[in-house]
Amino acid sequence: MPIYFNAVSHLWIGCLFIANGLMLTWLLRSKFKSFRSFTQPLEAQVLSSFFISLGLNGLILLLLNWMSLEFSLAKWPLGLIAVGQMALLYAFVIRVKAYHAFHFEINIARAALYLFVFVVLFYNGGLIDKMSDSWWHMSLANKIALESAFSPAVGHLTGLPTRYYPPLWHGNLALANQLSGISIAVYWNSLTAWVAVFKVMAFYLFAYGISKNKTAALLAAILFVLLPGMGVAYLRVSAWPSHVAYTAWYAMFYVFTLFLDSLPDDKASLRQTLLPLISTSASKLISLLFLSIVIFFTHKAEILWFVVAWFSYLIAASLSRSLSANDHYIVARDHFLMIYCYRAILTLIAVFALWFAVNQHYPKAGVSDQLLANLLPIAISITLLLLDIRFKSKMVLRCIWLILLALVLGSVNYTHLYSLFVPELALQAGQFYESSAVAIGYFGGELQVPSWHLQLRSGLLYSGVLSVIMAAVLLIVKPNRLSILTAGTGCVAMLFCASPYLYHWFQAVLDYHSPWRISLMIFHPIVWAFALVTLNEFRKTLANSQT
Amino acid sequence: MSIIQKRLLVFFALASVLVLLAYDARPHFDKGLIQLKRQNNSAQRHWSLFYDQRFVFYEGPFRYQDDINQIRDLIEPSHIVLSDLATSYYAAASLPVYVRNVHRHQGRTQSSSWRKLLDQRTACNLHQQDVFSAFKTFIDVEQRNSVSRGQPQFKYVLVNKDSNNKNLRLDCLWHRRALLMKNIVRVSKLKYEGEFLNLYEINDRSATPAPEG
Repeated sequence: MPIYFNAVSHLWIGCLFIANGLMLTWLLRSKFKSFRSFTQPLEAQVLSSFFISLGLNGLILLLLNWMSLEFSLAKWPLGLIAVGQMALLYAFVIRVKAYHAFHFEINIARAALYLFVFVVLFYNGGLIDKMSDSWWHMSLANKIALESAFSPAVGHLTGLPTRYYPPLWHGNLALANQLSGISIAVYWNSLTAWVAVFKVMAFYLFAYGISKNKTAALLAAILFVLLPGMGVAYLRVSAWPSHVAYTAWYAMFYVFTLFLDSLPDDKASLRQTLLPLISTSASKLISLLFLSIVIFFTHKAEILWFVVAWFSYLIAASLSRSLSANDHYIVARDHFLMIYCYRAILTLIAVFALWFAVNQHYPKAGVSDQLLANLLPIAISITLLLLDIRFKSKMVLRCIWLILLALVLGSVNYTHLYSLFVPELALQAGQFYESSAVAIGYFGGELQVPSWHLQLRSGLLYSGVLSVIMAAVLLIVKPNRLSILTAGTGCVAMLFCASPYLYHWFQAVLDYHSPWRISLMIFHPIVWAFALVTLNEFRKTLANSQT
Repeated sequence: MSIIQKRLLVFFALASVLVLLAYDARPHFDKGLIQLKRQNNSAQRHWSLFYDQRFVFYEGPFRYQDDINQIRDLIEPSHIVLSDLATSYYAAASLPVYVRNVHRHQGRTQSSSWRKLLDQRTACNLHQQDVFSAFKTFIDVEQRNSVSRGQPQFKYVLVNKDSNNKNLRLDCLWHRRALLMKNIVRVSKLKYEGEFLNLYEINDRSATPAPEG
């Protein structure tokens, strides 16, 4: 068998998905100091190159589509852009010896990890041997290529009407196919190795951004490669649009944590905080906007998971603040800007949930499980709001805590939760393999819960589910940005998967077929990496105290 | 708690975490798991030290590329191709055609006539006269309706003769390919005969008048 049957496609991938983006990244680094500072790690430059290339290609295809021209003509604007950028690089970087634009930061361990991932995935290949949805995506890319249009005239697979799918990634595949003549299946197979590396790089950046600890971040990246996890950890399916979006999603976490680092340490006023924050973080805000656009036109859902993750962070920060025994100020937890945002979002959610409940149930009468499911988020939001107000009376505070615990724990279906570990006890599944399971509520009504058999059981057992407990412990032992985020996201994700009332409401609100993907927010590699580093610190402290 | 007890506790915690992580990481290094997954039709989504491109190469469409290139030049675009499940997807991803033999959640149920044809495995039993007659009627009706509605027309049958690709075995259209090739020529003509793929063009029966009643 010719194991290098796809070698040429790798050269095309370098040209189409890296080259133009890399040159633009260097140009931006030569001109903007703030952009240079957060793209100093090699990983950031590689990801920037990849996403800029995707965006640039997409933009050119959009123009060609708009002018009803063949996609194969993209070679001219792409070639012109490449030549233009080379000239600009010569003029603004090489001629003036501004070589700092080319500098990057990497170490041997990280380089070895990425090389390992690339070699293994190159050798494993990325075409799933069993028939899978990947062919649906390749069919869409093929029709985009054939019709030179982002939205094929009729359903791309069957010729019957089909749903809209964000076409940025498929358009890029179509472009590669049109310019090189290499089949889309070959690209799908080859790109797996590249996007897998990009995904690991993005995860390293995310872990580094949130921990500010290179050892912990490297450990997290290694564990990301080793541990099973929800869908995102499947490295052999890295060429899917969702995985391109996951990569951008992790990159967004990195940029956003750097943005949050700009928050002043002291208790400055709103004006003193906001204006300098926006002016010094323009490049980060633009990068966040750009990554959001890439996600929106690639897979969409990750924008929602990004917002939910940071909302979970705010919940965990508020609860940690409420439980803290002293008044020690922690910027990542107690900054007034976050408190304002949190209260505003909670109020919005409560109002929205009320509107949704009225819309769903008015003018129906009587109490049902569906009504309870719609009322629960309102009750939880109000309780969380009350908890965020620091009542002086400890008795009041305890009462609110008790109400919150009763609402949350009372909504969980424990048979369903237990069946995560014992598949034989699983609730009745829906008609199709992919359907939700059905739980019976307090009033005998049917409520949806995610079937553990999808990607959840294999992803959560055991490091995934145990990491939620570990994250909560770390939040108590070491409240910082990392422990607050991982505890918040982990607990919220598990709660939504175990509570039929919350899951049912979430599914109804989103009108999305896979809300169980909220479990992507369980960042167990980061939790375990941080736990290992913390335990090692304890070990060293104990060793020193003995000597 | 004494220092030694604390050290023991930390050591125990560290060891427990490492054992847990090693336990969860083992599928990547388990050679037997690959065979187990293959036997149970379970997809290999995680990387493995023992998985290699042979599976991808022999159980994908890469070896059919020459045939596909030839067929692309012969085929009229935007028509419907009938083939086994795997080859249907390969065709949709590389040719200007539409396919109907797909998974349920990807549109198999959208057309009731096609769903009936595929679920009843009509095309696998063309050697039976009554089934063949039903198939012929199906072609007449489909072609007539598609012409009148301006929809893609059922025009081609693609037979995959490869015996190494395990994915083809999911469908009786592959298992009974010899019978299919023998009988399909009664309503079509062989347009291309390749190393792996045969393309048949169905005779245009859209002008056939509909039976009365």
